[in-house]
Amino acid sequence: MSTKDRFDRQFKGVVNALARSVAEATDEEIVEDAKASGFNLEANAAELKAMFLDTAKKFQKRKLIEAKEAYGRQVQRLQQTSFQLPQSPAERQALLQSVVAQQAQRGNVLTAKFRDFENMSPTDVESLLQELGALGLLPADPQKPNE
Amino acid sequence: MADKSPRRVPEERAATPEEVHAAIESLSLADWARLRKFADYYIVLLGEKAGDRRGKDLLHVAFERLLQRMRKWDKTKVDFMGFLYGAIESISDGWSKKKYSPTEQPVLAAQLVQEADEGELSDPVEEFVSTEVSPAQMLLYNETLSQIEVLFVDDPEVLKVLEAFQEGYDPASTRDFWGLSQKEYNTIIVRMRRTIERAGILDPTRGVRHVH
Repeated sequence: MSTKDRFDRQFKGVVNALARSVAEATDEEIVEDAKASGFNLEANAAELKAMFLDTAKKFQKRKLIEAKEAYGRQVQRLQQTSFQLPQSPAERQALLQSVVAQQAQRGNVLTAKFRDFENMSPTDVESLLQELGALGLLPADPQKPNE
Repeated sequence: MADKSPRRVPEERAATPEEVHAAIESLSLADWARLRKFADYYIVLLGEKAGDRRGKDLLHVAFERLLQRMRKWDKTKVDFMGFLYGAIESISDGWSKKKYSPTEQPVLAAQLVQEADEGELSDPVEEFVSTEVSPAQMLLYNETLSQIEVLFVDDPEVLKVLEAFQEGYDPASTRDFWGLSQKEYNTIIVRMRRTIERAGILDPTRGVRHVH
């Protein structure tokens, strides 16, 4: 295709070649270019490197903030999730024992704080059941612990 | 459409943030100069569509897209410099397709990139494709080419090479067409580059981008 009268294409051909020549130039040629045009190599490198490092730093910071926000949302979701638990403390205690036993049977060892549940306060039992519910470890109908 | 979605580079071949950091640290003074000048040339190519952007802005966007993993650097295929050159070319190409309005406030394209719910990045700039060049910009390209030719009225070797470039020949085809050795070609292109640079014709802060 002729580039006659397509000055944009002609111009692009020239500038592309010049850009490529810079990319392929030796270090010595680049230093000579800089001397010839008064281009400050050190100042240029310092400016661009600082821009790259600053951009990377801001990006990392943003990722960290996003991760913290996602964690906060997750915690909030867990806190807002409420399960219909059995009414009486004894039934809740039984449900907790049942869940721990089921998990143990499946080879899932729950943390040490679950082992001493007979001495837990009713509030702690309820709180633990809510956590287990949020983790999807409660039976479909927690009101019937043996199902 | 260029540069719309993350390149399909397998995760195990994509450079890690630590590797990117190491690559930055390893760049020499000459490398940084190459990057600046390479990006400046691509800003000049954009003409009026560059708005107030400079080569540094183009480099910044290229690097941001690497961090966002919108473009991944396949370290097994290309070095860091090669990756950045490719990104600069691609981003500049995307910007060149953007419709130009002299009344619009120019913004960095990176500021327009938005993340969808699935985490996919979209760049609205690339949704508005326009390959048209305004008559004023076309005239300016013509004038700039004339100014470059005038610089070399007494240098037939450079004029020959310039003619080939204007016809769309790449460096290898240009060497073949004119029967130039690599060494002869290098000597000519370096002379051309330095003369044009000294004349300031392709300085991105003036010339081809502003229509008066």
